[in-house]
Amino acid sequence: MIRCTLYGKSLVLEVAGELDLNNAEEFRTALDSLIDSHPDVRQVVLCMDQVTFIDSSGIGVLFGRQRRMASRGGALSIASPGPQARRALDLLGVPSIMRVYDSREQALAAEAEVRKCTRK
Amino acid sequence: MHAKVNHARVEFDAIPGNLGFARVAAASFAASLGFTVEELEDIKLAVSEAVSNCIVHAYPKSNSGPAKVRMNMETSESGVTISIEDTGVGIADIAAARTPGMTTDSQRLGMGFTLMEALANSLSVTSEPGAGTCVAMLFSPGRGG
Repeated sequence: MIRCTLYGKSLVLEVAGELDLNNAEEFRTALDSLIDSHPDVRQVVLCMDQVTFIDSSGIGVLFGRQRRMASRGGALSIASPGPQARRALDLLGVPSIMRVYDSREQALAAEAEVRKCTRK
Repeated sequence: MHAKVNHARVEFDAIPGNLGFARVAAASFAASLGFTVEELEDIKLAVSEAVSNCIVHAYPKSNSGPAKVRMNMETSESGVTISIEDTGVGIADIAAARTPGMTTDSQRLGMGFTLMEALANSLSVTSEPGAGTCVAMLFSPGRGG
């Protein structure tokens, strides 16, 4: 369900398929397990280009993981949402709570910049 | 061109595994009415929220008996009306249930009705405690985002 790659202190997670009530619990458990097994990671980038559908059950999981990352001084960001995911994220006001990037490259570059600024 | 009046009804178990079926059934029914791909995606999202509400809230585990969701789809000159109906516990205070962020489940956002309202041209909720709830949504093609 989730492909995971570590770039420095950023964890890139590629999710695929439909995210709804049918697999929200599985999605939540998988994300928590990956977050917990990388305690040094401050930035999680969730790539959504392969997500074909998401509703408020799936987005609720994202909010929860964002809070989890925030509690360790980090953040969860979204990269490359498809049109349906982008629409659902916008309707639920996600961009005002977590960063949403058009591509994984943009997300990683922007997050590296954020870390540089934070260190100054 | 006037759309022919058409009607379909499906009934399915109130389980998460049927969400994908409900979404695709509704979008397939609406597909011939001139909706754009984006509008069909909006219908799928709204149906997903309505059916999820039935699954999560209508049938508490303590209840015995069949937990079913009935989806009525009907075309008219205005577009398509999709009604999602259950025979569950009902909603005592509909206005409160429609308040953004209102949920009885801490794992959920409580944004289902807010999304449905944003996605449908109009939405009505009728409910009777102990008898069930019906959410009816009208979607019209070409209304834009």
